[in-house]
Amino acid sequence: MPTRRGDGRIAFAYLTPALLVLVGLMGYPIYQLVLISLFDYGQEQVSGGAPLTFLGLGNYTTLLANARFWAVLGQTVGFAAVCVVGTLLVGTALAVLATRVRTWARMTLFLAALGAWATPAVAGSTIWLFLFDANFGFVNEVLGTTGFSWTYDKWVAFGLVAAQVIWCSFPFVMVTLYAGIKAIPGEVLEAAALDGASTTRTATSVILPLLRPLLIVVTIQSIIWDFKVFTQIYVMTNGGGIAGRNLVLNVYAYQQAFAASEYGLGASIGVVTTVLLLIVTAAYLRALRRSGEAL
Amino acid sequence: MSRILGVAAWFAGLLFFAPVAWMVLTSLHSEPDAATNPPSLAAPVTFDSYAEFFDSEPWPPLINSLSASVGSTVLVLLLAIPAAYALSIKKVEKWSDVLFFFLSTKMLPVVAGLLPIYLVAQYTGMLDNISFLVVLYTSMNLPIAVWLMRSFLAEVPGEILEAAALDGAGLVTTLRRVVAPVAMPGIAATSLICFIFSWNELLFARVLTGVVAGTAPVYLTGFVTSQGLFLAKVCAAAVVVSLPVLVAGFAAQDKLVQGLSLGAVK
Repeated sequence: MPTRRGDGRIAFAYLTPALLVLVGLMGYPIYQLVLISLFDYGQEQVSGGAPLTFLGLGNYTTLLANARFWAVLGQTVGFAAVCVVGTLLVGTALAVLATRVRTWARMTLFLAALGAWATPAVAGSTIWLFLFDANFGFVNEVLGTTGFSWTYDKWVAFGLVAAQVIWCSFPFVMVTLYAGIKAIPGEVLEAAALDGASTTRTATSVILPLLRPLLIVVTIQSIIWDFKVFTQIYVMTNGGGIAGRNLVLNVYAYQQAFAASEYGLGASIGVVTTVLLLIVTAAYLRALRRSGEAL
Repeated sequence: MSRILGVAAWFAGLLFFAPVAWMVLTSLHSEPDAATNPPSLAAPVTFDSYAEFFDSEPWPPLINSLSASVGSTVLVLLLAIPAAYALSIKKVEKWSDVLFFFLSTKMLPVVAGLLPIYLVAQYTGMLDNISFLVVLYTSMNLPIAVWLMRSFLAEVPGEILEAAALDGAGLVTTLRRVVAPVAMPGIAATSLICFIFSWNELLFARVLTGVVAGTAPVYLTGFVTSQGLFLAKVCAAAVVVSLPVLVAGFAAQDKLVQGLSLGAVK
């Protein structure tokens, strides 16, 4: 459509309310967070019982010198990667499956997706714990492994939580991609079939490129969500596992800030997490743009 | 081939539905039956757990959740539709940077944002006030809503807009009369997604609300803590809290798919 002079200004006027709300509600906490992370900010400072001490980057040097932090960071990245890949694989596979089967089978898939989506994370995590209970759990009963603890071994516990996270987040991916596949015009697929393209070739050369914009959105969403997992770890490993070996950054920040009342240190973990996420998503988007894809 | 796919779909669907099915089933059993090992699927059905749940005054939190979710969803739409309109129909220079900014506000870990936001709430006297949650959930859902709405609105044909402009339609009229009808399924899909996220939000609600404004997930968490050993009761509570989303989602399933597919291949 023709662009007129002044269109830009009108468009900007439309954007302003949303931008203002976000800057106000997200920008201010980020500013405060950065500020708090520069101080020795504990329970006494919050209540005004002790003066603030400016530490500069002190909290950050404390953090970076702490071996615990690096271990938690590594775990977080690995855990998030597994969850993102798992969610995308399960979501995509079920979306494709849903487009290829009869009504009743499809309804079952959607019912499962909506059920998983509707269950609040706290309830979902609790129910998974019951299902995987060492002595009374349904899963051990079925597998004949009664007495096996799914939450004791560090990596088994991580695996169980990852499975729960994937169960919670696959519906968004599945429903979005299902809609995307459905929207591909039949003629495009017919043309591909007429040209003698195999199923695999149609999938990789026709369907996948058309789905790319959507895949980008769901991938970025998954990265952001899974990097910030809190509820599942907190509930299922009882606040970060035995001796904190199942900690991820978000729970670690919570522990430092609220359990240990080291708000300054907790805030610095929050800042580090935010910066890491910014770098990861920006790099991902830049890589996409370089390969010639619009958003 | 199609038979294998059908079997695979049934298997996957039932497997992924199993936790929910187990939850519903357990909620319908008496406590002793729910606790047996192996779980007795055929035990007599009873609604006792539901009766006990509803006796425990769950209505205030449920109503709080409803107002927070509906209120924030309406606000999100009011803010996101014009913004998405600006980004999709009118080309804003550097619009991908604007989109990235929207997204970047989601990167702040909720836990890290808690203390600053708590201090703001305390300072403004908005602690334990449901309107504060409404505003908070609005900003929480705004980025994804703008992203989704942008792709839906891009579907509105340019010619219709030009025709509207030629007829002298103002921007509000254009949005309301021309854009909204075409983008309706997309709006429905976005609303549902925002509704689900606010309905299930726990952390903010837990820290920022108390006796008055506590939401359903907060209530549920308390219920799990106090009744954790009473499996059937916990399951019944979880079912009640999940039900609104499940019903809304299943009823809007076609709309959701239609809406999401509108803006999908763009």
